[in-house]
Amino acid sequence: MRSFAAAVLALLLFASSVRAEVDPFQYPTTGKSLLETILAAPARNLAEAQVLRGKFVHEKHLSEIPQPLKSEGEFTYVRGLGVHWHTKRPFDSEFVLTQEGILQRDEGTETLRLSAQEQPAVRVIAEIFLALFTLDVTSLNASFDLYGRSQGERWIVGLRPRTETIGSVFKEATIKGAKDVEQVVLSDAHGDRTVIQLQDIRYSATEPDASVRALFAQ
Amino acid sequence: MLVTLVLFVARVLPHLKVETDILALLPSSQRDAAMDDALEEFSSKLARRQIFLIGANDLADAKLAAASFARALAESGAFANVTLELDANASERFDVFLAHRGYLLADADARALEEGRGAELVNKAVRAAFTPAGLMQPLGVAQDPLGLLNNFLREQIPSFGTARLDGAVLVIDAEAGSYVLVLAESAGSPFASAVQERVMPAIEEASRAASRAVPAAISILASGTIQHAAAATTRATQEVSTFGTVETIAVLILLWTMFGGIRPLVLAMLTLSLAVMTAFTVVHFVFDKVHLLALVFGSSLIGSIIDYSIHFFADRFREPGRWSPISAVSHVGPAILLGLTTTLISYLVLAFVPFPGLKQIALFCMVGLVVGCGCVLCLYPIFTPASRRAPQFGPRLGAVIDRFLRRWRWTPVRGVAVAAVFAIALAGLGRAQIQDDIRALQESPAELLENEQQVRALLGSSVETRYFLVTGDSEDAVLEHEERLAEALDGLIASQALSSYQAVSTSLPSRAKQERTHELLSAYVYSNGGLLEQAMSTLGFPQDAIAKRRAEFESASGPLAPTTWLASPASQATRHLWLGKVGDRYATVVSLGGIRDVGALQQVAAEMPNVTLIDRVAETTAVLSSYRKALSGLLALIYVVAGVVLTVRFGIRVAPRILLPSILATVTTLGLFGWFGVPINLFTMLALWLVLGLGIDYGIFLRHGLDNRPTAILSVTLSACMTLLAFGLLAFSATPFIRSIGLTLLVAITLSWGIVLFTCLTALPRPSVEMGTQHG
Repeated sequence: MRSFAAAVLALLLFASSVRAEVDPFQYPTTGKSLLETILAAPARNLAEAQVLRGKFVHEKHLSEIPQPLKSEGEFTYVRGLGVHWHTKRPFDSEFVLTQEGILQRDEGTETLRLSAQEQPAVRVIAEIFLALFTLDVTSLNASFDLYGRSQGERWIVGLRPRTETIGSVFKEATIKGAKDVEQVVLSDAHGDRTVIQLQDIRYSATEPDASVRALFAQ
Repeated sequence: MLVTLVLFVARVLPHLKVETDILALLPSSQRDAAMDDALEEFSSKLARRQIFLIGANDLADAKLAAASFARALAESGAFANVTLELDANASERFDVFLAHRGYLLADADARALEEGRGAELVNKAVRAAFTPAGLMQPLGVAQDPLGLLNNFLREQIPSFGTARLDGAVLVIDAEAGSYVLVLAESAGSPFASAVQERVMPAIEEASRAASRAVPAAISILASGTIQHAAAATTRATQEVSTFGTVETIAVLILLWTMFGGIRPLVLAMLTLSLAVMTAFTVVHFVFDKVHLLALVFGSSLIGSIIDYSIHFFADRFREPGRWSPISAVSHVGPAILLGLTTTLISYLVLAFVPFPGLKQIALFCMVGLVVGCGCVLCLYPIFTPASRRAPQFGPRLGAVIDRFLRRWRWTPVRGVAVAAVFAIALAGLGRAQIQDDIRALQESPAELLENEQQVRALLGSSVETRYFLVTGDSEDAVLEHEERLAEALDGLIASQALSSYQAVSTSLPSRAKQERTHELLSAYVYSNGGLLEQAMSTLGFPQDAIAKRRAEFESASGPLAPTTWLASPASQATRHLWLGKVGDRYATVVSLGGIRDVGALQQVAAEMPNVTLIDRVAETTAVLSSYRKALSGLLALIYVVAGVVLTVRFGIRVAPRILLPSILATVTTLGLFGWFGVPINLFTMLALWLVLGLGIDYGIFLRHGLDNRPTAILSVTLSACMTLLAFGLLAFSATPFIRSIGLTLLVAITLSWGIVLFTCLTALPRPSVEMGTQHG
């Protein structure tokens, strides 16, 4: 019984230490110092990568719905091109995000297209989205106040937008990981959260081949 | 005299406003006055807008420099507003749309509902909820489950061409680096010299501040009317003052060498200053501002008034020794008065032409001439010494010319030769080119145009001077008409005739359309088991959440009314297009971007009642053209009137001799312009107006001075020299319309002078020579 109590206590302690880790917003920092310290290792991996592939679990937590809206699939990031976000469950849907804008194809039919040129806000969001996954904290630092904390190999970075344009999209964001980026959480102004888990990330330093490039054909 | 001086120095100079816009010279067009005023205000608001691009290799440098630039502009007080950071408070702008969401829909969604494609909407919305696409929308899934309001809101985002929003500033990425956009609106008309004097130094100071802000090299590109207007003012005032100075010095030298002594000089200068100051003062009080062109023409006063002085002083050569100033008045007085009368008649006609600018010129010249003439006839006799030895250079020159003319015989060969020369010159009339395009008359320095071109290329769009005016009996009627126009314009965008348009009805649909939207929403979206319920239950929203959305819809505010819209931040982007109640109608403007097919736009306007395509440039060109024609007609008319006056005074045999030089000089000048490819415009006609007066003056003087021909010849020759000095110089102006005036006078006055000596002073064996020349 005592050992059980000790175990519970240890668990609670551990949990509180995790919670301390989860709240990075008490440790203001800058993009430059993040790169020199806690993000040095993962950023080095990313810096050489031309192509990044992996699996994702995308969860949208809405205050009015008890169950999150959950989807899964595979993503491909190509430096200089953008992100191809291929949702496979609960249905097949491709979401392509580039500097030029966004495009969604459901079962091969285009259902949404927003051009960055016509919708300046799309470009802002697209850039942030891309920077979040590649830990491009220097560019993020232009629009966000940065915060960060690390514990051993694990680290967590917090972002708060400096401008209202971005603030109207999300209030704050956290990026968590160790060797790689593992989780991105975006909280919007209405209390809804988007949680994105990234798994099985593979890096490739070689230029993408034609089949990869074809994913981004508009 | 003192009163004028005091008035001029104390009241006129400090408040002097010089206007340089050619458009200000023109009457407003043929619509009703209230509508014209409203459009005028809209256009002047557009003209006050300025775009600056602050560029650097590095975006961070460009941002810093732009911030300093914008701050310096704002602090200068020369601008009504300066925008660097866009009002980013999107949510505030969306609030009013949220409140009236039951009445608003994007066109594509309305069509989908009407065509029964509601399931598609549900499907799309549900999928969007599972992907990051939702992040790109202003409203979350819970607020807008079907994304209908998001789609409407997206249509509200104004386009900035190639610029993108970086943080709160607009950025353009170019090969050479990045540019940050600064928008400004000058406080006052860009054509007013007072505004230019505040704005231009402010821009220079801001540019210096921007350079100081970062160590890196920056470039500043500007686009706006004021740069062009200021360049025009600077250039024109510089030219007028340079030419004015050169002219004054030349006049002084001429007077001094011809008449000797200092008194004639002082008297002439005094007369001139008094005439110009009085004219200036009167125009200032009548019109409130003086147009640059009135100034330019005002300098013609120097010519005419000096003419009067010259005639007076030259008279002393008539009877050296016995001459007295009183006898001079009785001798030259009638000629001066007759000359004044014909000139006044021509300006009086000008005063009744409905051109505001021409009225100014007419008033300026009439006041100046009357004052100048009065001085010569009343003051000169008192202040001129009775007898004085004058240099003999002038009379000798007159005598030489006179001897030549007396020996001249009109042989048939000479007659034919002269006729042939004129005939050839006149044949050029057939080649005459008409130039009524306002853009060709107001040419900006190449550097500015290049700057402007660069801004356009970088922004990927241009501010169009053409726009649609939509009117209606009520606010709703206007919006309905606008919606019909917008539909047609969507078609033009699809066919690439146009790249964009901005209209009030995009964010403020007409009442009828809002009611239709409300019906669609009640029938398909918020109904029991409707699209909202389908989407929300698929996503897993509980029943009470669905009921809540439905209740919100039921209890929402009514349609979005124009007053609400105008008072809210939602109208920020297009508020300037709402002209509101104008006279007894309501009006809005639909502005255009990237016009590629003007014909298609004209066709749209032609097919729709209550829609007019306003094309300021084409309109101005049309106005310039119609007034050029009117002036040509009036010029002919005045020649007839002058002919009658001269016939009454001199008889049928002499009148043609006086009139012919001006007429012949006028048509020959036009003919020569034809041969040499000099375009003819409204300003050519205005200059020919001067030729009319001056040429007839020469004739009158020569006829009056027949008893002492060398003196008369000297008078007229000096007069012509003065005018050539005054206007010949304008032919070298860089401002096209001033150049037109100068060139016309240079040619026509030389011709008038040459011809008048022959028509008035050579013996005519057979009148057929004169007739022959006339017909040639």
